[in-house]
Amino acid sequence: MAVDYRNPAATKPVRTGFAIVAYPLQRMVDAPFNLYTKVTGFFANQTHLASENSALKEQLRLYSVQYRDMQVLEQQNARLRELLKVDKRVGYTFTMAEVIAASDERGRQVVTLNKGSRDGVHEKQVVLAEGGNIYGQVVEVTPFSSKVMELTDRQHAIPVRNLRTGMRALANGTGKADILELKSIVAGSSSNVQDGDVFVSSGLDMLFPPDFPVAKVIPNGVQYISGDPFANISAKPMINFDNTREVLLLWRISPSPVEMLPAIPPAAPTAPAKPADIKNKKDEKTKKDEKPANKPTTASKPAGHPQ
Amino acid sequence: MIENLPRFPGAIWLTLLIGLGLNNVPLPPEWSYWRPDFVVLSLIHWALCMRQNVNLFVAFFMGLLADTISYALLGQHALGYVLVTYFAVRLSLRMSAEAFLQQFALIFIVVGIFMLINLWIRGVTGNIGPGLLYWMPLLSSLLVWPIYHGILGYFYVPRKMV
Repeated sequence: MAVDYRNPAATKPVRTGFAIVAYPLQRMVDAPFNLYTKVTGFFANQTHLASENSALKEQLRLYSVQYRDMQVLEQQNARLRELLKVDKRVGYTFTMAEVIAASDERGRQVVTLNKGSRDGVHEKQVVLAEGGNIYGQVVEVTPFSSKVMELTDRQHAIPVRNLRTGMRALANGTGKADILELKSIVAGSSSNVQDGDVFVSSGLDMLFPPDFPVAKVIPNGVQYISGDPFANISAKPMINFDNTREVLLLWRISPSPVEMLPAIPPAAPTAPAKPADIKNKKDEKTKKDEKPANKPTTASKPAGHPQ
Repeated sequence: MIENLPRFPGAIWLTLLIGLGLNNVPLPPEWSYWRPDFVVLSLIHWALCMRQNVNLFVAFFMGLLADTISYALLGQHALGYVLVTYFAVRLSLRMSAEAFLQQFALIFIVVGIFMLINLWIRGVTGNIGPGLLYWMPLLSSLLVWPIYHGILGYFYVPRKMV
């Protein structure tokens, strides 16, 4: 026990071994609930399903258009970053995973997912829940399953930023599923926190992606104790941890130039267009006779240029 | 003297695994405060009915399994289960297996020791639970015991020996 407390890495193989043994048991315990959701899904109302389906389709159409716009923005962003000699923006890919078990230990908010190292899950991987809110991070991986520590675990902390003021803080878990605690915030005018303030991840830990919503200050969540230089702030996580059954595993991908190329074709003419554009302008000034001949080539450029 | 036998090989293992499964059935938080540790109850049951067949290593193994599942400190439940088995076997010699009141006293003591040790370990590792609510399983263990004991009665065959 002492070894496990001081140096968790030493007992990792034991944990992994037992976790593999425990996995079938956890699946068996989960099986009735799984069956229940499947059966209720099977007997769902046809008209309800149809209306839901059409609504989802509509949403998908909307999202696909927005995604197209997003792609354009991404390309633009990549190009601008290249011009400014800034590092390329990190991209992400996602996979769905299912929560099959939750820890019953007091103060612990750890769940087991049905995806493991077989599916590419690795330790310290970020897990999101529905709506893109941060759920937690992976702490243990076996070939078939993985354990995720939620934000509300007593031993978990995440660096956050106040969306309104930009003030940075640490959000600590309390062991309760619906409260996060913000500590070491100096009570004063420079860092005033109000009820309803939203905290997003700041990304300073180089683990959680920045600007993902984490928690919202509850009514009367800011409390000052006289004599204490720090304010006690309670915030409610954006996710209902008790009800979440499906989560998103997040992989970081740094886009290499090779990957960027195929996405560019519609914008491809613009890259060489710039020097040509300048050249053309010079041409226009010097040789006014050839202006009509250049026109078709220049006319195509403004179309590609906004990208 | 009464010498009981397991109904089939692996009956003890099966009941312990069932207990572990029951420990991990998802419950709403306000309910889970009342959840007794079913593995402890199973261990006490076997200590009472077949103290010759109870193995401390089995208890230790189940404890490590429980630790991994609940992501507790490795060895926390293991130590608890081993002590539970030891004390239950020792105390079971001083009482008759049929007297319910004596059984209640035994469970109260043994589960109390188990929870106290868990509480100490949590205190040392800075993981202190919610006040008096922590002791609720002690009560619910007593409430559940007659039913659970009755169900587990299926898993052994009573046999009289001279």
